[in-house]
Amino acid sequence: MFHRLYDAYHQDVFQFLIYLVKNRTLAEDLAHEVYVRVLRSYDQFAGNSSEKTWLFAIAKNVAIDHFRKQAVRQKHSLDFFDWETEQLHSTTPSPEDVLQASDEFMQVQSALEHCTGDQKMVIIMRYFQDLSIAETAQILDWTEAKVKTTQHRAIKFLRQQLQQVREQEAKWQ
Amino acid sequence: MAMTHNQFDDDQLEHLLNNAPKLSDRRSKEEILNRLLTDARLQDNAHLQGAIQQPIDDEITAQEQQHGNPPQQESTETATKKKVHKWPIFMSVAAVFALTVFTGSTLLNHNDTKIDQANAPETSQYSISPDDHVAKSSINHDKMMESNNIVAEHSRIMSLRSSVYEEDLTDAVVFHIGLANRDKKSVPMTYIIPNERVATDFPKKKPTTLQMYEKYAPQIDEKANGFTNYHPYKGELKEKGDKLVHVLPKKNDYDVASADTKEYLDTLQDTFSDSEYKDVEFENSDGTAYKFSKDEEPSKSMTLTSANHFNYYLYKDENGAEYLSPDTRKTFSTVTEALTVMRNKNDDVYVPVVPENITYSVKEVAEGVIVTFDEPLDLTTMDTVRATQMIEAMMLTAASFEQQIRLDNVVQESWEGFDLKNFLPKPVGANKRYMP
Repeated sequence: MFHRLYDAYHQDVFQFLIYLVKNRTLAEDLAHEVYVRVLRSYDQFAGNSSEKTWLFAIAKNVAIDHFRKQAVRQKHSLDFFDWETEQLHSTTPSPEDVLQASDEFMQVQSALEHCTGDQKMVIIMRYFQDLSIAETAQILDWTEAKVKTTQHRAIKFLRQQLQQVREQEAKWQ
Repeated sequence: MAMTHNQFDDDQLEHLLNNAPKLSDRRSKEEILNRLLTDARLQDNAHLQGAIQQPIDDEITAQEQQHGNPPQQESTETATKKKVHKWPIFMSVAAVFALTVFTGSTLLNHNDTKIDQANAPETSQYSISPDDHVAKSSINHDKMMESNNIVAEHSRIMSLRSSVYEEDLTDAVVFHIGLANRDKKSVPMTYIIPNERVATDFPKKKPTTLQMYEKYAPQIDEKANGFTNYHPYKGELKEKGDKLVHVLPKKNDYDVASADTKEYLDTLQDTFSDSEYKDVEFENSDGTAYKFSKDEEPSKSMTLTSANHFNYYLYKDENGAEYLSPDTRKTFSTVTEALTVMRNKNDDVYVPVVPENITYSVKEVAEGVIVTFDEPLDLTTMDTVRATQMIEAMMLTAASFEQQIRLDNVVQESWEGFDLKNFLPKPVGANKRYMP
């Protein structure tokens, strides 16, 4: 089971985590937590979803738990941490791979940090991970309509953010 | 795609998003497995055992295909495979350490000793010389040890456990202290101090609990940790035989209102109840018994060793930090009663850690106390932090009665390193911290 899941999805899950937390070591820690939960709960996997969406749902929960703990450490109350409305803000710099990416993509990364948690999650799943609307809905336990709406709002927000950056740049030139 | 200063449109954005750089994990599958094998939470995990077995089988199969092994070798290989299947999990670390070099070399070397060399001439060319084997094994072993240390450190940081257990104290001691919070309550904290540090601070003789308090209490930055600046106590603390004496200043903050006195006495209990002192006496500077303003009579000594049995709830401070703490210091005469009412909310300060919808029965047996959930409890359906807090609060409640606890009818066999199939360890103290 481990080998099958690893061979099929490990790099996808890792990429999902590293784009969320923007830190390679932390992504490795979280990937470890994903496998711990997978190995401990595989017997309860009922097969109501595909293994892929089940695995990503666990990865999403592990990441949210991380952001929740980070919020507690930063003196926000657990009660008030709602990942959908809060920013899933990564305090660390982008991984070195991303630093080598284009300036435009760096701006996208930066703008993503200002999105709400649900928007950031949907953008990473839909675009970076190439997950379908149905898969994203299943992982997030949402309706497909909610995925579409959130994606639409995220795109609109990102476009506005990037437009502002462009206008700022134009002013300086 | 170059970004121009034209209107930024959705197509440009989608293009950027669709062409995000691919980020990959540079670690090998073996490294990931190694780390999983050293995680206590996966001890005896059948899927993990299956995972480490598969590459060995694959390797053997590959070798068989590659070597075109003669029939007599097959029987030896089969025997070896069966032997590998019987490896218990504690051997798993060694098993994975072997995956790269060891599997090929050892199995073949193993065969070398058993197989008539004359009948298996081809085997030798695949064997690694003993020197190579030792050298590579040694390098792998060093890497493994290094990896284990890193993993242990990560596990410590990532662990959701909040209490201190005997296993935390292999080379350290605990220092208990009741810290005062904004609600004028004492929160029992358990600080871990390395033996080495205590030996340096007290080179001549094992310190008394009071000496430990005088040395380490001032080193805790209570304010920075969200507590009130309370320690060290004002006045003078001194030992008198097996008693502790607190000589209180004439004017002090411990005797302003009854809530202040209760807070003071609770912090004393949390700081000194697990000590060599049986009682604490309260005195004026002239040696007479101190009279608290709420009392008619001068104070009598307070017993520190009295069996005050509590149940544990969640306390959250204003910064969102969470602690497991006795619920309003309400005491219980039986562990069954204390555990049974843990779902009840009694005030606004302490929050029950057991969700309302989870019901259970409690049974006291010779070995300890058994909580049996009415419905199979799947901990993965709960928030992981909440699930761990519930388990630890029950463990602390049982420990308050000097009992160990077992949780029955839980779907998972282990959780956060706790073996749920058996009685759980008795925590040494709540709210683990490392002495700064």
